[in-house]
Amino acid sequence: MEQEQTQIVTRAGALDLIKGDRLHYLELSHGSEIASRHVVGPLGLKIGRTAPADIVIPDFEISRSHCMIALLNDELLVSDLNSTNGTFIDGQRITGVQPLAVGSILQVGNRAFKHEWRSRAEIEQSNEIDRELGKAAAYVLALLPPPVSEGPIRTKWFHQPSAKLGGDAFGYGRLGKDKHVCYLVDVAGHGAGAAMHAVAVMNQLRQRSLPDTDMSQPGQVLATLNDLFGMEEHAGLYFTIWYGVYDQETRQLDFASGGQHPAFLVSPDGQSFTPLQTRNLVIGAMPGLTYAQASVRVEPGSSICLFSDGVYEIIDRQGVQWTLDHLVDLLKDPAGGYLDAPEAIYKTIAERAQPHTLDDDFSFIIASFD
Amino acid sequence: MEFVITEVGGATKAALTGRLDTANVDKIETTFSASILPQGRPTILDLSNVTFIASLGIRLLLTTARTLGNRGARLVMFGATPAVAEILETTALSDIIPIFRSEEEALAAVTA
Repeated sequence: MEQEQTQIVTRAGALDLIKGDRLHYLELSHGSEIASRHVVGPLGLKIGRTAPADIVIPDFEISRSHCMIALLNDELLVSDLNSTNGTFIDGQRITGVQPLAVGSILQVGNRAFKHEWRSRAEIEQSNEIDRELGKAAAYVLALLPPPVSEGPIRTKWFHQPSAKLGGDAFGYGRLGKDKHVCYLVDVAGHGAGAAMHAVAVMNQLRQRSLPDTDMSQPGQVLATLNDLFGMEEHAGLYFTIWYGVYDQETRQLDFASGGQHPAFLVSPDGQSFTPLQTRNLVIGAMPGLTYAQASVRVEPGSSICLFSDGVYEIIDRQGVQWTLDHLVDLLKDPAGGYLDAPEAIYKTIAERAQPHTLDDDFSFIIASFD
Repeated sequence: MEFVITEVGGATKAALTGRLDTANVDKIETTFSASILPQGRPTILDLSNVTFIASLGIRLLLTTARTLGNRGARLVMFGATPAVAEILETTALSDIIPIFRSEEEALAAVTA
């Protein structure tokens, strides 16, 4: 009898929650947008590859009946339905029944659902913010240069802003008669603020002009940017940068990096990766710094890979935290054809990453030289 | 991501555990700053149980160092694992927040 009463109380509690202000949602993100939002009611939800699952994901990595999400005492509980590839909460494979805390990520196959507990008004507000972020992402995208398919330097790139918008931006083009410039900026942070900061930096660099600065000297460019974009005057935001200038006549590439991992000079056979990096502080941390630059000769047929940290700072399905070495090994795989197709790099990394760890902007530029 | 604040020989010691990634920085930033900054004491950061630092983590360390610096107190780090040391080296953060191998060296540096 006591058990029955308990059940009744629980059910009533759950129903009250539905009538009340806040609901439990599972949000599925795709790139920079919320792809779908599912309310978890008192009857719970089943995720699987085919009907009658409530959330049907037609993906071979997902079992027909993959997992169940129940709502009990105002808490979401997840149980794996003996799926082949498992169910994960915040990267940990679950066994038995486990709670899904608000803000936690439920992962099935290569989809990641975030548990949100919000009112309809908050959802509306969040939709509005998502729309604003979408606009900011579109604005950044409009500043990126088109790929170049002809001429002495060809470029291809792939850019995928994260759901929270990560502050990546890049550019390239001529600098005077015989020189070419290429740069990638990554603002630390996310949201419209980081994107606005990236746009402000981009607008300076796109002018090919900074006060009292020779734009063909990467060290000078970074030092000037550091003085112009101090953290204290810019809402605590700093950024990292890689900036290179190539002289077509001498085949010399001058470059400097500020707080950023190296770009790579890749041999024509795609097997030798030379890191191009100078040890400098991030931009904006402290005024009055000098920035070191370095030079390298670009042999005919070489290419340069320039990318943001969102490309490789992932944890893969085996639980391994990737480093640059993992990325370089991937790029060296001749079967992948990655050095010709930056979108293929994204596709492969998205397949290998635990989805919630692919949470930063992804920018990858490949420049190929005659 | 967790952190524990203790007092060691006149300095604040903050021991972080886990991944200092974007999501975790969002979660701990306010309480972390509130636990360290008001004292304005020399501070040592124990990184020996930190497995990863993302750019927002670097920003948290930078702003902590600057705020303490404005109050005349130093911030140093110690115990970084090779993986974390490599990330810190890329950002050249040690130019602003020096890195030491041991707690004793770190403590000696801030209280000197």
